[in-house]
Amino acid sequence: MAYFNIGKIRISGIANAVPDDVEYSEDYSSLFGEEYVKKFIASTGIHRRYTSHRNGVTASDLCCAAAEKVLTELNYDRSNIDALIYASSSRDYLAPVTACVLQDRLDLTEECICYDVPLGCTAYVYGLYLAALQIQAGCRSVLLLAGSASEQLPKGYVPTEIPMLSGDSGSATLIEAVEDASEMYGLLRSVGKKREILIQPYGGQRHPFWRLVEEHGLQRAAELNNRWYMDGLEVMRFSLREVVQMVGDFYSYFGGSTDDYDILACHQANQLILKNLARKIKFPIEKIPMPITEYANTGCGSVPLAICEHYTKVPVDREAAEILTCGFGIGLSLGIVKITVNPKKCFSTLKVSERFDDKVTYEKFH
Amino acid sequence: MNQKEKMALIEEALDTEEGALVPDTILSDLDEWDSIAALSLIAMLDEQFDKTISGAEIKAMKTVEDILAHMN
Repeated sequence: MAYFNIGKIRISGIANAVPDDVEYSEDYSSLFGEEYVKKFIASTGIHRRYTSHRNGVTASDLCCAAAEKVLTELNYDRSNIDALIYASSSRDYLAPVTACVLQDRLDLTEECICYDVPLGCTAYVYGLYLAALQIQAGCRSVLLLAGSASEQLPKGYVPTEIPMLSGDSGSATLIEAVEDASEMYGLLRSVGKKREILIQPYGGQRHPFWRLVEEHGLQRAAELNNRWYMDGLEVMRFSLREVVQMVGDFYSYFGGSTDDYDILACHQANQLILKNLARKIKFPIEKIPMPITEYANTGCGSVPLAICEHYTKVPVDREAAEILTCGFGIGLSLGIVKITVNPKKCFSTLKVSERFDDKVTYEKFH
Repeated sequence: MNQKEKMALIEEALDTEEGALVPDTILSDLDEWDSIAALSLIAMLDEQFDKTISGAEIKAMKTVEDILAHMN
């Protein structure tokens, strides 16, 4: 049963942070050709992105800054936070989970359930569901941190493909148990048989690094390790079929129509996909925020960024807005979740330039 | 939809000059035939002909005629 409906859930505040380093798609004209870059911008909608490939700010740094913003703005007593969910595939270490690092950095109590959910573009919608479950199980409040960041690259690195599709952002959402709050409901699905459409196949236990070295030599193994593969055409097809089907099933099960929702905060895959998805599910395009134009596709953090960028630019003079959130991507994994947000507690996006120093040195671990 | 209208839709999806294409045009000979053009083509076929074709079907296309074959 992939449908759920959980009551008494309040989204108390949402904030986002991006690395303080901006890049424009046009910056890549000399490398990839002016015509190609123009076409890239027209199709994806991406004019610029904020990136951590130079300053090395991590997704957890971004989420940490966003969490400080939410907790400060709400003047929230952090000893009430009974769970922290880090919904991200951009982790600080191979082990332990990043949620434990963030518990320490955010000075949360030791009576706090901390775990990671390493999904991709559905990390946020799955995280909302898990947070609601935690509340139902007795937690007073849950901090949901979702974000993605790119790897810091060596100086002078020259990309072989235009890297502008991916941007970086981190978010924090405070979710509380409140007696008169509304319900969160939705639908989550998975299509594991299509996992090769989006995959990072090497470096895990199935294709470990040293096996690659044996087969291809150290240099090639280093190039392959952690590399991403995407079949863009099949991602497009998935968006137009399975995602469209899911939205239809959501309306059939829960009732209602597009008029019942203030906005659809959708994962920012690319503008071509978003426009075609909007057309197929008959959702008015003006009710689908498109921060992709300014931030690119920020992976795990794209949905909360879409929510806050909308409500900080289009101020709403009321304290509750019923909205839909929708994620789809690697797994394949997809989900649509209805939440109620307070537009006045959707905060403006921060810029972060400082990379956290964990004091880990080679001398300590070798 | 007549052949001329279909050709205009293909030209728009592939972002080529008007009248640049004929049914025999070999796709791999076109500078414009790249991953973005392929995405636009999927979107166009879906919108205009209600056909959500696969990546494999796109990769199997050799000429403009192969695109026209999906436009009915």
